[in-house]
Amino acid sequence: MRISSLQAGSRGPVLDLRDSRGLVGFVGESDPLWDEFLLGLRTAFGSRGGHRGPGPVVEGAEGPVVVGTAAFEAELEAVLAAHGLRREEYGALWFGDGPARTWLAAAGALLLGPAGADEMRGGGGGGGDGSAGGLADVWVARLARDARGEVERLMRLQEEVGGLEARLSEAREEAAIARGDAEAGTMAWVRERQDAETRLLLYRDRERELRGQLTSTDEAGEDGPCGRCGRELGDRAGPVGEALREEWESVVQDGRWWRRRRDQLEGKPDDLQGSENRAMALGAEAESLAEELARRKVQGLELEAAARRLDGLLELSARLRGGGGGGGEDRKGAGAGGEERRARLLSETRRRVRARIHGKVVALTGGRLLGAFPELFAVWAGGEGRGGEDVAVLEVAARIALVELAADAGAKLDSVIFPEGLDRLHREDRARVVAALARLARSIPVVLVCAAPRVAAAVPECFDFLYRVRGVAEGGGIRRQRSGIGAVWLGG
Amino acid sequence: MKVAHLSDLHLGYAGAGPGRAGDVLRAFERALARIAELGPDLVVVAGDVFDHPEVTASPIATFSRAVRKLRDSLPEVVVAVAAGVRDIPLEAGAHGPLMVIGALPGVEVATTTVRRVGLQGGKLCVTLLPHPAVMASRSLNVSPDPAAKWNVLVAHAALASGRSHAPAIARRGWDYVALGSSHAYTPVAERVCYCGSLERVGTDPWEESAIDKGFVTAQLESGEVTFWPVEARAAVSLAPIEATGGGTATVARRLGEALAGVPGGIDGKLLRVPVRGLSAEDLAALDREVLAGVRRRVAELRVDALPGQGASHGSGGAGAWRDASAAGERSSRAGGRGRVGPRAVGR
Repeated sequence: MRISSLQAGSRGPVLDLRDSRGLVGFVGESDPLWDEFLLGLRTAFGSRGGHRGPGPVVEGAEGPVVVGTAAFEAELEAVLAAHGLRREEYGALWFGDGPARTWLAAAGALLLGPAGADEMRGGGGGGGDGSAGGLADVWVARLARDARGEVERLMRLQEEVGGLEARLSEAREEAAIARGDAEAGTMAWVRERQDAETRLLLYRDRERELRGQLTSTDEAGEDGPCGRCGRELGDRAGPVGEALREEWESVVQDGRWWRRRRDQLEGKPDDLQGSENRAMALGAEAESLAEELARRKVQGLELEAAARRLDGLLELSARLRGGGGGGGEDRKGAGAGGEERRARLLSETRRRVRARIHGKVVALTGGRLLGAFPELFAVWAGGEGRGGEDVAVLEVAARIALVELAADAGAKLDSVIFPEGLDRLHREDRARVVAALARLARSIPVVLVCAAPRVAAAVPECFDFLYRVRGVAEGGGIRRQRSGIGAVWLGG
Repeated sequence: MKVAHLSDLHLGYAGAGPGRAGDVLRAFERALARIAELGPDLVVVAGDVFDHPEVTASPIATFSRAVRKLRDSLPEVVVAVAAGVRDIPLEAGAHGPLMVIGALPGVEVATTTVRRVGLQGGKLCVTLLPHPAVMASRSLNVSPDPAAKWNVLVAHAALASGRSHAPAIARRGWDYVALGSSHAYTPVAERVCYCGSLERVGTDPWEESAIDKGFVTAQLESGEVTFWPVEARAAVSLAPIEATGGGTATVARRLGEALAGVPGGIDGKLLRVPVRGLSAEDLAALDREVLAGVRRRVAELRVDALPGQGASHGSGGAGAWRDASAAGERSSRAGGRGRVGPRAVGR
């Protein structure tokens, strides 16, 4: 139901929300007028069709409807029946009315749907005496269907384990061969390079030696001694010099070849590089397959848990179907089974609602309350611990979770009201909470919040409209202003 | 004629970790020091100078000191500011911090109404379009001053008709349009751009982890626009840590491995850790045993609790969980901490 106005008392000021959409803020700190608006809404909503006269108005199917009138009740009744909600639970969902246990009951009802909610409350639903499990069958069957789907998914994944193991073994073998090839190639390359280096050094030494002999032979001439044997050269100086020169040139030539060879072998040969790359790629593939296999083995554990869960649900389902038969013993058994069923349903629902609220609290606080959450939630759910910044963020988280559950359940919510709590938020949480409410306002036409000026000013761009009570000096009344980021036309 | 364009400074931002307030002040000082070297004729700030209108004296003093130093280097330079959504108090008639900086020598401010500032003997006209003036009209239409040779528009707003309207800007007489409100540097059209913020100051800093932070200079004669990066706090978003098949100890081990794999380590960074499949109790234990230590090493830690694989949360499945936690999930990526050199982005 889309709220289109709130009224303070029967003749007091009106907060006209008809033209406002998105995240709408009533800016005020402990403003008495806001309290009057809320009191007006609570009183009219709680009158159960007995409200007379002006009051808060919603947009009904046929036009504006005053909350609490017979016309409003007719519309509300349809919504409650469609979603298995009680009146006070709708109040919790719509404007945060009632204690924590009502909020949690509303969340549970939205999670289970009308049939499951009825079963959870022990109403027996459409089954009359409830002997055959009644409408709870639907819920259990839904859980079983989900569980079966999960088991089948995990089984499909497990079926691939054998193939994965074979591929891993193959990949490891190939990787080992490639690694061996690469290692052998590396050794050959290193050996060749060392050989070339050694040869080059030998040729250098030989060239230096021959150059020395040649120089001394040339300088000394026929009277000088032979550079090799030391005897006088005489007329053999020419041929000896020539022989030395030829040998020197040959050594230089060979030395050059070894130098080129050494240079060639300086860098890793392409084929060796290719072998190494291949070995690395195969190694990486084997590693990735091993990781995948490890994941699949962990999923095997999940499969066991999912299979156990499915067995439990199938057993419960069978008991539900077979419990309605004949005699007194059977009936007693069915009654005991019903209690057990309800207890399990309640426990599972509570677990899921709590997990959902937990996720929201963590998101809104960035993890600040991770350590405190279990105790904080227990205290709050037990109806204590109102007030304080931690409870404030928990309550906003619970409301957001509740509204999202309603959306998941297909409930058409056209407006929600966050009447308090934003002022008490921890400084670090304010911007995150307002941003989360702005996201909520993308799917719900009006999200109305009461926020102190410091909260609204923390992220004004998140708000679409702001309402502010004007003082007498400003002429009184309620001033409405657009917020967010504006747009401009460029003219010329 | 060179114009330096800044926006979304968010001075006074406190963030959710120690040292974050100093980050924005230092980024602003670094930006103005670089601008002093570049020697523009005009500096414009397109809104959100401050993070909120109730800032303490420290951010105002930082602004004042940095502008004074800039004017020591460039005595003729004028700093023109158009108020953003965060600069204006909600209470009507209340004076925000812009009133204070508007009194500084060489600083021109528009807080509530459109203001034209003539400079260089009337050759340059700067039209300042503050947020309240934009919001006061459903279709505010602004035109350049025909008597001025150069016309610059400064606005904390979006363009009403987006890209389709923008190509005609130069012909309509605007030589440069400096926009604010987006934290990412975004050229909208020729001579029109958002310069983005100088730090990661959004409600989710990790959403901005891959965005370069900095300011822009525009050469009015040629229309050349250059983005100048400024070093910002690095942000790291880990890939989800899976609890599947194990409990707190497994997550602690996997988290340790993930943290060890962050290039350059995690110290002093903005760190986001999504954990999948741990119960509230196990997360509380993880917080006590592991995350408390991590929190001491980083500038800001955010933990996201993700539901386990295949977990169902009502008929809508896990979809509703994703809104707040999945955005910006990346595999161990570090946001850019500084870059070298400017980026010429168009004419």
